[in-house]
Amino acid sequence: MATAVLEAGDVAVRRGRRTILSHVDLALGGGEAVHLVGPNGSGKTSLLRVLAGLNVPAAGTLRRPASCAYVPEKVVLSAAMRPGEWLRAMRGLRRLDRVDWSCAALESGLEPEVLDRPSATLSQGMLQRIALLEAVHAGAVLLLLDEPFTGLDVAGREWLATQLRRRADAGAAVVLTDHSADAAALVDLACVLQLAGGRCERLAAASPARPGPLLVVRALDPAGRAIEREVARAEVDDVLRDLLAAGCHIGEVRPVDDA
Amino acid sequence: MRYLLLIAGRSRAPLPAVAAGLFALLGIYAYRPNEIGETWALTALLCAVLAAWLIGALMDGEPRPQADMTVAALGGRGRRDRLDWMLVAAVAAGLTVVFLGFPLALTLVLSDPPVFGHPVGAGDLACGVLAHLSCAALGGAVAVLFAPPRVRRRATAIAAVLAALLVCVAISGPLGGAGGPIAVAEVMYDEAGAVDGALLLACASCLAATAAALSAAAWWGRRSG
Repeated sequence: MATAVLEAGDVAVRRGRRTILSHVDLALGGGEAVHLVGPNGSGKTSLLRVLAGLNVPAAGTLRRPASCAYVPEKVVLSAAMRPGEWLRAMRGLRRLDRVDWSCAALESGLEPEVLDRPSATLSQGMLQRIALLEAVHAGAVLLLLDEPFTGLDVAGREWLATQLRRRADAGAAVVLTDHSADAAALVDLACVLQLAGGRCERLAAASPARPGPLLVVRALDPAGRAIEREVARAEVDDVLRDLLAAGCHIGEVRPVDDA
Repeated sequence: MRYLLLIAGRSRAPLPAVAAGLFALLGIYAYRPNEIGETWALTALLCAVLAAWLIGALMDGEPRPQADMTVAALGGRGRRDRLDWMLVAAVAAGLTVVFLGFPLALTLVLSDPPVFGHPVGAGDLACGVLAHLSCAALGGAVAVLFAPPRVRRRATAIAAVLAALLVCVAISGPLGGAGGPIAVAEVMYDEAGAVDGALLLACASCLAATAAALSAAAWWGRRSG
């Protein structure tokens, strides 16, 4: 296993006065992803919150990086806050250099204008994609994502899967929950943690079904900034249509391996 | 602090508290001349209430999922607690500057009748700074104690803050000179003009209660998530 990013030993998780999980053991190295599965109320979100440092474990030991990227299941920002402002503020909190969020948003499939609208006017899927955008650009070595694929359209799921693969290649560890089949299908999982009855059982991960050949689309946005997106062959027509509608100039489309 | 200012600016949640503070200032100094000690005893107590209101509104203006993402980015509850302590210190300092700066600025432009019965000396100013800072810090700390994620319902938080401030009033009698904001106000009312042991004891009791409230908030926050 690569250098351990997250180590939990005999951790117990409490919600209110009730212990909902006990004897959780988890060691996660850089580049590995873990899928938390279990029925509603089994403690997936509570465990993620403990791993994110939002709650202390009721028992056991936890060694985690100081800063991580956490995206809750339901993302809510202050109603009048512009997502662009929030992204810049989070960047400042993390003491990271500035990012061209317009370009990053376009790559994720969001119109850059969305960043300047009050968050109250955005859909749940848009807010979730903005929070995921912040998480994957945070440079964090640990990403904790609660139902990240829920609420995203097909292109959004492809984008997220690509970003998670990139983060894993860069040495980040990922813990995610997902009730759909997307996590298993799109993400290379080191293991699956099955939560049920207050216990946590480690299962082998199934090999992901690959989403088909990927294409690289290179384009220039109306401001002349370069855009590069990896998309599945089945989605390329929709992506090109969106880019052209946004006034972008398409440079090239070619398979990933040739790019 | 830029992040907190962004929330304050965008949520506009602290506006009612700011408006109330300005009305209070204008109302107090509309009638002249004033006695320095008595007036600043009153405004120090007002600072405790306004700090609680401002900080409570500001912290309530940050939705919980947004606060959670911030805590994770900062590196855990401990770092967020430090941000809250900075907020308490900044609000206490800001209110002190406003509540002492306004009458001092008025004295420069209004002379007949004068703002105060006698000129403001360095001793008066030192007493005022200590009294306003310590009272506002305690009010702010009480607001942090009952802010999310510890108390999630705004109505419950307001009731809890009011109850805590009333407890401060109720216990000030038995505690005497170490009775928190009420003791500060009594010392200011009786013998303002120089920083003495009584004022230091009263301010120290406020700051001790502030530290206790912030420590309790940190402990409670780690458990309530």
